[in-house]
Amino acid sequence: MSAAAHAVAHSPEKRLRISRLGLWLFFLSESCLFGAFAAARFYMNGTYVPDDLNQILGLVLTSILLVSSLTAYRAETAIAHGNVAHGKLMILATMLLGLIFLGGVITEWSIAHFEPSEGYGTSFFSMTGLHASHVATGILFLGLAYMFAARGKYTPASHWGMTGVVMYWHFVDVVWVFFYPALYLTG
Amino acid sequence: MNEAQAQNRGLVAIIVLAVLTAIEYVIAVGIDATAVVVTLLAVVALVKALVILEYFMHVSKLWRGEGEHA
Amino acid sequence: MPAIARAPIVQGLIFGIVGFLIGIAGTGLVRVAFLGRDGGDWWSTDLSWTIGYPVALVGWLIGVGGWRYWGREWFGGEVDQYEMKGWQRYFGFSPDHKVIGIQYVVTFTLLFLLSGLTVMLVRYELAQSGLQLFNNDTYNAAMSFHGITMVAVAVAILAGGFGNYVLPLQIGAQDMAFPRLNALTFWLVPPVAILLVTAVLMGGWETGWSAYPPLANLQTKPGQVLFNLAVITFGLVSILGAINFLVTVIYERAPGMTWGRLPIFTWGIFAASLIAFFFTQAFAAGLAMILFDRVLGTSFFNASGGGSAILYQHVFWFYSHPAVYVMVLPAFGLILEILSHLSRKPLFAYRWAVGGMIGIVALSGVVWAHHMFTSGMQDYLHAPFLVLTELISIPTGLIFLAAIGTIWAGRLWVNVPMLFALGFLFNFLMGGITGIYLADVPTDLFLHDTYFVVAHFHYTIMGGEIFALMAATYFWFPKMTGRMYSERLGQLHFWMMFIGFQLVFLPMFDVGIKGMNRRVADFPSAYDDFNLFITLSAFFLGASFIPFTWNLVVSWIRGPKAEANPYRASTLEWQVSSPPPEHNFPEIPEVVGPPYPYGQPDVRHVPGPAGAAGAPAGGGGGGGG
Repeated sequence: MSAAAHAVAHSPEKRLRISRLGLWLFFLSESCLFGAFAAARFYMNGTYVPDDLNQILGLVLTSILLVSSLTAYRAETAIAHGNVAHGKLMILATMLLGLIFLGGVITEWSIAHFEPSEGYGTSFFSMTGLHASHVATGILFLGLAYMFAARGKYTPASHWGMTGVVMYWHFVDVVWVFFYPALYLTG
Repeated sequence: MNEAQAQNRGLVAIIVLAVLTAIEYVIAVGIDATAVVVTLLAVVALVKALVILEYFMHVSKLWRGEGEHA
Repeated sequence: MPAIARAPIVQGLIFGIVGFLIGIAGTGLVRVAFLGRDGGDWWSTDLSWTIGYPVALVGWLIGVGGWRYWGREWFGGEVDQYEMKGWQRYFGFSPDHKVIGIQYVVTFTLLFLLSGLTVMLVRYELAQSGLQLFNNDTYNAAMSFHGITMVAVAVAILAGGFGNYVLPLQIGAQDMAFPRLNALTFWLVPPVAILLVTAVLMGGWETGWSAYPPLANLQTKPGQVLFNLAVITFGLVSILGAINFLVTVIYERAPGMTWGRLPIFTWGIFAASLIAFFFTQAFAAGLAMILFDRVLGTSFFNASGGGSAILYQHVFWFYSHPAVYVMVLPAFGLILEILSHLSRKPLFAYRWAVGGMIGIVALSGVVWAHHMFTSGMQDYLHAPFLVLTELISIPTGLIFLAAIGTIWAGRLWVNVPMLFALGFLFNFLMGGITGIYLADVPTDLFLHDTYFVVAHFHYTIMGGEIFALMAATYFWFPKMTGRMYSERLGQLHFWMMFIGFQLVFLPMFDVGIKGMNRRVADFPSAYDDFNLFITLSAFFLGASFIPFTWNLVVSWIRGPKAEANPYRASTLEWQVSSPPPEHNFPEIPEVVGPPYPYGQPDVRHVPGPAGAAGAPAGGGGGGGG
């Protein structure tokens, strides 16, 4: 990505550190948003989990998201070492796993035995929905990263776009690390 | 660290995460006392998050600088 | 295509309207397709706005320059360089922090004056009991508009405006860390203003600026949805701006600018950003939950569905109490900055002042429930929140220690910024002391929801933050415009504003103790005399902004040219021309000493002749025009 008109003349390494810190601060900020919804879940419903929640589906979704974090890691590592072909493949795999995850969430919504207007349903639909919207955003960004990789714009020395997208993807996974037990397992 | 070593590191991390997820599930199914379940789940989730933060997101690059592991 | 149609703002409006139409059309199509003949209307006020507005927002950002100067490269294209010059810079997607700073200051000053005019109408209504100008609905609309716009002004104008302009100069940087994000952040502000004004024109909303459910869930006015969307957008402004400041201070400092040499105003912005970038999300979460309840049928705040209206108050105050520190921490920094420069003394107890700021940041997140002593929350929460709240007076006391110690035995140059700084000290002290009665549960149970709270809040935020804003406006006016303001008109403004302010808000403490409720359009006629006096005083206070506006507008157009350093101040922003050159510094400066080396002949902030910092202060008439 080209330098901004008014960008300060920094070394690429310092530029990278600046971008990295900015992204981390954004993650911290978002964690307050997710935290507010998680806190609301316990405030409203305590640790209640409905008996007929589909636990197997929840575990499968969690596993899919975990595996997608590995493929995202592989994509970034490959690009960082100049292995663009493997990087592209792994970006596609990550996007595919993300889409399967979204499909799973929609399935889960359609088979749920509770309504958004119930206490648990309020938290369940809003938390999974908020998270899924972040997954969808991540898939779009991965698509852009694929385009950049395909055009050979990423080099081992300069691939911040790729790194940033993958960090975002991992962050969405971290959110699920907390949301999954909070929604499924505390009952 | 060359590419193969870096990729292996990711594999190790994912195996750790998979085991921890399995432990979470076992805790939820196997223990009855809610307070114990919630506490243990919180601890395991925290460990999982730390693994992802360090091994996948390289949080320590914030203060160690680039290129010292990756 | 005529030139006017290519102007960024016009393009933004066109793209925004197109985006809105696409959003509501898409929503309508889905509704008609899926709800079909079962009464599926294509238009649903809440839903159509909730979908249409974000699409409109994206369209606006694209049109106003976000695509041309930034977005293209996300899709592999080449971006244009921003090349506008002169006044046109201010109407486009400029990444220059000095342009953006002035954009913020002017936008929010206009919003401030508009909101001030609104409250004049509110005071006119309250001049006597009974209903004259408003009915209950329109009164609520006016009062709510005044509340949220002034909160927005207070949050954004010091940090967003003066922080943007001055902070990079003070730390010796060429610009902010993310210049284009900075531009994007500013251009999120006009939609907020448009949305709030539209909401009022559509009948307003009833909940004040705090949007408490169940009223926020139940009322059918569309203004509520517009309000929620506007404030969520404004939250984004606050968050992105704060992240930019944090990274800038951490990574863009000039060589030698250690943390212990940062000017105190920079510390104030840094501390406020620490709060803003994290806690603002809670407000966004609370407002999003209201939208979910209204649009998607969830039950966050709906007791019959298992929700709780008190949950909202927790979420809301988890942000909105720290928000007052987002307002006053830059003000603290600014006041200490001005006191040091214009008392010709080093800032007293610099480390303690910084420690006080950090202490406020640390405590800000654990005091929110003192707003909820009468809400019906659990009784066992009362005592801890009482104690934690009163602990805040310790770090605040450190700031006052630094302020008093700095002017103690100093050579005070009592010009307009100094007058406002001293006014700040008096007003904020009043606000702080009266706050104790609101933090104490027994007295708060009695005083809550009376004009005592109104008076306390205005003493801290208007008497504090807005006085600091005025101090900043005059202090940096020569730097930002290259012109000098009229000292005489400025002094007239100060004395009118200071006296008017006391006459408005001191009686409010009394009338509040006597039981007059806030947020009502009518009141028992026993309070008539008080209110007539307050209203007349409020008109006088409002009139003080006539010399202010006149002074700044006329001085900006044809005031005398300002020197580079009219106050002979030591910090970096005064070591460059007024206004500064495009990239701030001909060469990156090197910092060699503390920021306020007054009265110490062999100490320097930056290398150079003793002229800057060592010279004695001029008399009171310096810089008049």
